[in-house]
Amino acid sequence: MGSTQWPLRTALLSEISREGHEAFSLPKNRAFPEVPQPKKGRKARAALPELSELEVVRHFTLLSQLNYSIDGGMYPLGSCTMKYNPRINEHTASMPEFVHLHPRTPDHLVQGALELMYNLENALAEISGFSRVTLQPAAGAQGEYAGIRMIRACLQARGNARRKILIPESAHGTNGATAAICGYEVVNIPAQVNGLTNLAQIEQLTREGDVAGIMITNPNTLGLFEGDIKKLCDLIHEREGLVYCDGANLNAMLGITRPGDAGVDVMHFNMHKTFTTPHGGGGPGCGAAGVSKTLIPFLPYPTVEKSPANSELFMLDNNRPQSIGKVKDYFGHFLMMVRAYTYITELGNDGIRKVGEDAVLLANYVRMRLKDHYQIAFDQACMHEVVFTDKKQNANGVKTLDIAKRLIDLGFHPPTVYFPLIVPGALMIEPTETECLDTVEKFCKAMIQIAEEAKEPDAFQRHFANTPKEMPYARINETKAAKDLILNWKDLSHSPGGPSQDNR
Amino acid sequence: MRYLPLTEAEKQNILGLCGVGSFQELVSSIPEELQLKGLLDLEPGLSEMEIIGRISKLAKKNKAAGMVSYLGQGAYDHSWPVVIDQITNRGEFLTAYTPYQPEVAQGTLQAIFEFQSMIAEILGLEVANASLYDGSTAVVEAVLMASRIQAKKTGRILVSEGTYPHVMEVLRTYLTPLGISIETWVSDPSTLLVSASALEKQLGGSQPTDIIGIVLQSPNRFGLVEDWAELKFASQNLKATSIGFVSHPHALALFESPGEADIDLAVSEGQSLGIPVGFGGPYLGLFACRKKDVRQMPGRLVGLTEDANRQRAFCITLSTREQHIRRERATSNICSNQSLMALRATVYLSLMGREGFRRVAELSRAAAHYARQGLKALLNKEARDLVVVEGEAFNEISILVPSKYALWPETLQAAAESQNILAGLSIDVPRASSFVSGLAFAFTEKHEKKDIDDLLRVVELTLKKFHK
Repeated sequence: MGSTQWPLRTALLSEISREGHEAFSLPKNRAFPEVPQPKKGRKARAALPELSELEVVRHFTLLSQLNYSIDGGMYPLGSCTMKYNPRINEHTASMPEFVHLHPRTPDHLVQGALELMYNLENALAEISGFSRVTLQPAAGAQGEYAGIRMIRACLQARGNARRKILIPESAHGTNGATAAICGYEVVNIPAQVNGLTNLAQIEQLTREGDVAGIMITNPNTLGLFEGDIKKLCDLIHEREGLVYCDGANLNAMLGITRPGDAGVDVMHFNMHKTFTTPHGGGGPGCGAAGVSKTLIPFLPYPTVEKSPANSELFMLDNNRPQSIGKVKDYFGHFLMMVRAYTYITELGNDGIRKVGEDAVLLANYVRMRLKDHYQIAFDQACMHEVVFTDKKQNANGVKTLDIAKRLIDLGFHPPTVYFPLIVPGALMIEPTETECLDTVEKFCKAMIQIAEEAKEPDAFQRHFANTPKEMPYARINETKAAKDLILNWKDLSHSPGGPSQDNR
Repeated sequence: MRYLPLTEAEKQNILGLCGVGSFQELVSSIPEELQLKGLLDLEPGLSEMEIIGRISKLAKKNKAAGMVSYLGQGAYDHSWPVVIDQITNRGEFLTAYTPYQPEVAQGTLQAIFEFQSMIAEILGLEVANASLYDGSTAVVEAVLMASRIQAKKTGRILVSEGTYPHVMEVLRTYLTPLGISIETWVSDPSTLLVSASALEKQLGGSQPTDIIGIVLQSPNRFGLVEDWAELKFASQNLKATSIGFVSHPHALALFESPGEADIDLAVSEGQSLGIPVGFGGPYLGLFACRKKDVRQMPGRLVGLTEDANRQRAFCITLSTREQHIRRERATSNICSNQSLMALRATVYLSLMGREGFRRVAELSRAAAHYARQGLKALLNKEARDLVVVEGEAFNEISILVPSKYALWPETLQAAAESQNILAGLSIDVPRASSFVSGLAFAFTEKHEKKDIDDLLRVVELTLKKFHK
C-alpha cells in the first residue's frame, strides 16, 4: 500500500479553521453599483471553515494518503471491475472546449460534443449487439431504471404494463430496488444447484400472463455464463414479456459474445466498470442502456441524430412521443462519455477482444490457483470472476470477514464479500485484465497464506483477531457509528470558529 | 497494448493450467451460435498521439467554447480554484472504490463527512447525505421520501410554477408509474411568485388530504427568490411535507436557507460549487433533512466512530436503508453516487470559506443587478412593451416578451452569437401571463462590467433593427 508515513489521526477542517484565514482569490473591485441587502437575508452566515490554501492542500493530501486506490494496488472486487483508469481519459475530458460547454447551448455551437455522443452510442451498440443506446442514465442503477421503465412503457403501449418482474436471488440489490420504484412487484427466483437459471421454473412462473419480464445478470454473479440465455429470451418473448440484462459483468463478454444477439431487449452499461471511467470513491458513474428494436420508441429523450437536412450535422431530438421522458438533467454525464470514448478509441476492435479474453483468462488462473485452498462455489470454468466460500476456514473459526481484513494487512484490498447472497460466506474475486499475471499471482499467494494460517490451532487469535494490524486504522466499529449517529460537525457540537452570531 | 499486459506465452500457460487447448474451449459455456466469429465492426485501436489529435478536433468543433455565456437555468459557469483539479486528480481519490472497507478508505470517508457537514450547514438542516445524481433526481428522491414520511403511497404533489421544466420532466418520468400525480402551484402572473393564500384559492378552499408534498424552487426560473414562509404555511395547512429546491446553492450565502424557515426537506443542484458546466454532467445532487427523519433518507451516509485502538474514524452508516441490503424494500435504488463531485464541492467550500462563498454570491448578484438596471434603462427608451422582471433577484435576470416582440429573442441571440456572446435562454412564462415568452440571462463572478456593456449594446442594436 505505498510507503507514505501515515498520519495517525487527521484533524477535521472545522478543527483547523481560524478566523481571518482565507484561501480564495477573487476580483476585489468590479465597480458594480451597490445592491441593497436582501429583504429576507440569511440569519446566520453559513459556518464554513476559514483556512489558508496550504492548509487545504495539506488536509486533502493527508486524507488521500489514507485511501487504498487502483493506482496504489490491486482490487480483486468481484462484480466491480476495478480496472486501471487510463490517464489519457482525464486529459481528453479536461479539454476546455468540453469543460466549459453549457448544456443548453444551441446545437450548431456544440457539434463536436454531439458527434462524440453519436460515435460513442454507435460503438456501444456494436459492442453489445443492440440497435440503439441511450447515454442519459447517471449510473448503472439509473440505467436499470431506464431499462425497466422502457419495458413498462412498451407493455403499456401494448395495453397492459403487467404486475411482476422476475429476479434471480443471485442478482445485484439494485435490481429489486429498481423494479420496485418502477411500480413492479418482485418475484425472487431461487437459485439452482448449478448456479444457473432454471428454464422450467421460469416457464411455470410466466404462465399467468402477469409477468412483465425478467432481470437477468449475464454472466451471472457467480461468474457463470447463462448458456440458455437465448432460450430464456425466446420463452419470455413467447409470453409477451421482455428481457432485461444487468450489464455489470459485460467485461467478460467484450468481443466474445453480444447480449443483443442472444435476444435481450435492454441492458445497462457501467462505464466506470467496463469502460474505465474512474470510480472516484463511489461515483460519479456513467450508465447507458442498449435496446433492441422493440424498445427504440421508448428511449429517454433527447436522442442524438444526424440532421435530416445535412448528414454532416448532428442534432438533439426532443420530439419522441412514446419516450419514457427524461431520467435526469440534460444528456447524462457527458465528461464521463468523453473518457469512455477515449478508451474505446484506444482499444479498437482488436483491443476490445483482448480485454474480454484476458479478463476471463486471469479469473480462471485465480480459480485454478485457489480451488484447493478454498471451497469453490461452483467448480467449472468461470468467466471474468470466480466465487469461493469460507466453508473450509469457518470450520476452524475463521470467517469471510476475517479473511478480508487479514488480506488488507498483506497489502490487498479485500474481494467482494458475502455476495452473491445465495453463497454463504462468499468471496467473489475479479482480477481484471489490466493486472499483470505476476500481481495476480502475488494476490493468490496472499490468499493461500491466509488459508494456511486458518488451518493452525487457535488460528483466529493468532492471525485474525483485530486485523488489520498493519494499517493506520485498526478494525472500525460500524455498530457504534449507527448507534451514535454523528453525521457532521454539528453533531460533534462544534462548527468552525463556533456558531456565527453575525446577523448581516 | 499498454493496458493489457498478458503475453501470449502466459495465455498459453493459463490455458494449460485449466486443461484446455484453446480459449474457445475455456468459454465453451457460451453456445457456439452466440460466439463472435470475427472482430467487431470498429476501427483498429489508435495511439495516444492519434487519439488526442482526433478528440481535440472534435473539441474544436464546439464553437460555443470561448464565447461569453449568459446561459443559466440550472447550470452556471462559475470559476473554481485550480487547487480543486490538483486534489481531485490525485489517484488516491480518483481511483478509489466505494468506501465499504473503512480501514482502507478513511480519506474518502472523512471527506464525505466534511461534505455532509458543510452542505447541512448551507441548507440549514440537520443532516445531509453523501450526494445524489443531480438537482432533478434529488427532487424526485425528496418526493419519494415525503411519501414514506406521510405513509401515502399514492396521492398528489404540488410543484411551484417557477420550477425549471427539466425538473418537472424528470419528476413526471419517475412519479407516473407510482400513481403520484403532479399539480402546479400557480404563480401570480404579475409578481411571478407563489403564495400560500393563492394556493388556498387555487384548491377552491377545500382541504384535500391526498397531498403528499409541496415543492418550491427558489430562486425560481424567472430568477426571483421565493419566500420559504409561503411553502411552510401552505404545507402546514395541507399537512404535507415541505420540500425546498434551492436552484443555486450560492444564493444561500445571502438569502434565508430552507432550514432557517423550518422546511422539512431541502435539495439542491450543487454544480456551482466548483464543478464545470461540462455539457451537462456529472453534477451533484444535494439532499438534507431533519435528524428524526434520517431513516427514511435515500443514498449513502457517513458517520463518525472509532477503530479498535479508539482512534477517531469514519464509516458508511445506516446502510440497512440501501439497496445492497434491503433490495426491493430499499429507500432508493441509488448505488454509485457523485462522490468525486462531492469531493470537488468539499475542496471548493474549504477554499472559499465563509467569506469567499459569500463574495462569489455578492459578485454574481451585483453583476446581475447592474445588467438589470442597464436593461431597464434601455427598454424604457427603446421598447416599453418588453418588461424586465422586478423583485428580489439573485444572479439571473429575465425579460418578459409580448407577442409583438415574439421574434426578437431569436434575432438577439443570432446577433449576439456573431459577436461571441451567448445571449440568454428562452423561458416559459406563467400560463396566466399576457406575455408569450421570456428570456433569462445568468451572471457569475466571471462577468465584468465591460462584458455586460457589450451585451447591452447588442440588445440595443437588435431592438433598433427590430423596430425598422
